[in-house]
Amino acid sequence: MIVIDDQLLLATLSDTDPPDIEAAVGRGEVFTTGSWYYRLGRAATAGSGSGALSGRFRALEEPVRRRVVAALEELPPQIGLVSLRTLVPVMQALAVSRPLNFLNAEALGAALLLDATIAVTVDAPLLRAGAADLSVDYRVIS
Amino acid sequence: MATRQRLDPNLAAVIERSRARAASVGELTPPCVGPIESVFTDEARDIVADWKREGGYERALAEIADADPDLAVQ
Repeated sequence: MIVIDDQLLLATLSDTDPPDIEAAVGRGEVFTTGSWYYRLGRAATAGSGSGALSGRFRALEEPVRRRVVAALEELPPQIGLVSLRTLVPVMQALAVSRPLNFLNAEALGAALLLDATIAVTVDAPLLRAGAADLSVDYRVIS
Repeated sequence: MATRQRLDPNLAAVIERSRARAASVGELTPPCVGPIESVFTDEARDIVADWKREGGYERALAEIADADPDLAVQ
């Protein structure tokens, strides 16, 4: 199993993901977290005018624009997402050397629950350190 | 699935309980297995690529993190 970050999720939704991630999706082995899913949606709409991704989509034909925006708003069923009802007890029990914010605790909790690798596009030292503390596999995919 | 040997016993027990719950409600696998048929056209992919290349994603994340540190890359 692989838990992917928001940028890899965007790559997956736009069919520009690395071949190994694409293959893992096909096998039903790819999850993301609520925080990364939420952050992608926020990032797509953050800013104003052409600064936001959603603003740039105004250049697309209306039917295409609607489908693309909908694809960003609704997580496809091929991507797994564990509920907070299940994850929070694990997040609460995490014992790591440095405090975690919600995003990192959710990623680590999901990886432990799923016995998964965390795959990110940008190295996050605190997440990497937490993963090391908990013996969670951690990969940076550029 | 085997819980990692180095984990704190309390954490390992919590994981096992949560894993059993996840299994009971079908959360250990995605709802659907198979490839995703992307609705992104070449033009839409180009827009995303330009947005990322020009730093749009990083700027958006910076705004989000300023407003909500729980969503920050730390």
